[in-house]
Amino acid sequence: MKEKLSALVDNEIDELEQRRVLGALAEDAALRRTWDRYHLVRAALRKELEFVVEPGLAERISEKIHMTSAPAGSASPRAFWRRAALVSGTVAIAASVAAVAIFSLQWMRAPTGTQRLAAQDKPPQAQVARAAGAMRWDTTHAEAENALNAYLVEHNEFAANSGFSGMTPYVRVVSYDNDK
Amino acid sequence: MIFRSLPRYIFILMLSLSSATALAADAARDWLIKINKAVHTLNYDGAFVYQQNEQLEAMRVVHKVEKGVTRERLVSLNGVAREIIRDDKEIRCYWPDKNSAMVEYRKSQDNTFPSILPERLQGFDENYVLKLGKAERIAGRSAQLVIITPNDDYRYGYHLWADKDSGLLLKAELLDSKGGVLERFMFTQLMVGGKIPDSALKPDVAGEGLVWHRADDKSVKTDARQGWTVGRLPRGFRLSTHLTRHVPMREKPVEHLVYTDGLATVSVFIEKQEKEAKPIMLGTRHMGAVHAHGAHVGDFQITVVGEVPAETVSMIGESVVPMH
Repeated sequence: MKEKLSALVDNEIDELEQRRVLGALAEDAALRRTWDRYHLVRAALRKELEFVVEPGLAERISEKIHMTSAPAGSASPRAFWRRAALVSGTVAIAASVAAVAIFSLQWMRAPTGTQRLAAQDKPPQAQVARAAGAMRWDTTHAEAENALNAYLVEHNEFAANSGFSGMTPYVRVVSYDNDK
Repeated sequence: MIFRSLPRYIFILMLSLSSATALAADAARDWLIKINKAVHTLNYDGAFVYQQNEQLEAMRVVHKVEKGVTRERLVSLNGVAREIIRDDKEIRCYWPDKNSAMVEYRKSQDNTFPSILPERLQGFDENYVLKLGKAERIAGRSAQLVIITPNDDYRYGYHLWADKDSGLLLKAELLDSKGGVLERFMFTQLMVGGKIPDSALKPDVAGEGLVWHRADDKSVKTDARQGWTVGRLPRGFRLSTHLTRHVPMREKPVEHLVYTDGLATVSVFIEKQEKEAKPIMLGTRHMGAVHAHGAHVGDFQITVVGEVPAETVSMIGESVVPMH
């Protein structure tokens, strides 16, 4: 089962197996702790420790399962995990359809507080003209636009972890109207 | 006699109707799971169009999954061949017209699957209705339509068409409350499965002669909870994350509150400004379907950002207050 759990963390098992492992996870406390550890290790390997799963998350999920399933009667842990899988998927979809990651702009437009290897951009004020229908914020204020873009990137970390195509949020980067 | 038992028949009828609805929602759910799964497991190479208002873009996407690592390349097919290449560690953007390229380090990653879930789970059913639509033909393939309808005007709806064979999302539409399409994405040509050579994931642009930019990858995160909260939230939104961190591009630490209704996400940022400084932004702005709202409280700039309608960000933005 641990092998399968590891595969689950790495997203390498088929749907049927996935449901089976999730079912087991919902019923086995020791397995849930292992699951936490796997995520931790994986995150550490990928140097993502600041976004690591908190210890005990699986425990809390389990509590929630019991909290939410008890009154409803019909909702089994398995149903919960199924919903979990669903929501995870739809969130990613929602994020990719709607979310934007404009890595281009703050960088193209010389914001403050950015480390850059080279500077070639014009000052922000020089680039405030825009075309109708272009993919930009509807503001002519450079400082506001830079702030919005910086915030949007931060927001995306929570809204979009991976999209249905993964790349789709970046569509706007490629098509973002830097020239206008 | 018949009148006496009528309520019972109605009850049974209602029961069977509601279970039929539940079954339909279940089938729609299975499709969503399949769509999500497809992204993490399939190789594909295709051309798609992306439409927002008057703007129409044609792109090619190459997607390769190998040993659990996804690599992708996106190339603009019209105009300048701008490219983005992404793996699990970084995102590289190439702008041949600017003679420049950029590297952005990824911070939060693909371990979405259960890691961010508990908060998400609560809201979905009370805020959205899920059902299956018609089968259609897209990019030469048969597709199943999944319809996600919001229960009120504070969030968007979605139409998603999944490839019947692979589950891959072939087309997607983001809808406003009147059913108008805000954004549309659609494959026009697609190859699913099969081997993808590494060369297909290399940029057409040569690395030499480009000016390279690197984003600041040091974002310090603390979980010091400070004293801000939202007074008025649209129904169904709940706080999912509350943290204070250094945001790249912003000089001061920013308090960040994340709210979700199970599908849509809204961020609230609170940033301290110099005394008597002018507000950075006031009122509601948008870029396509993404809305933002700025407000000023004391010496603080409040900014709300999310893939939600204008009313949602303005309601939240105008009600952010210190807790004490």
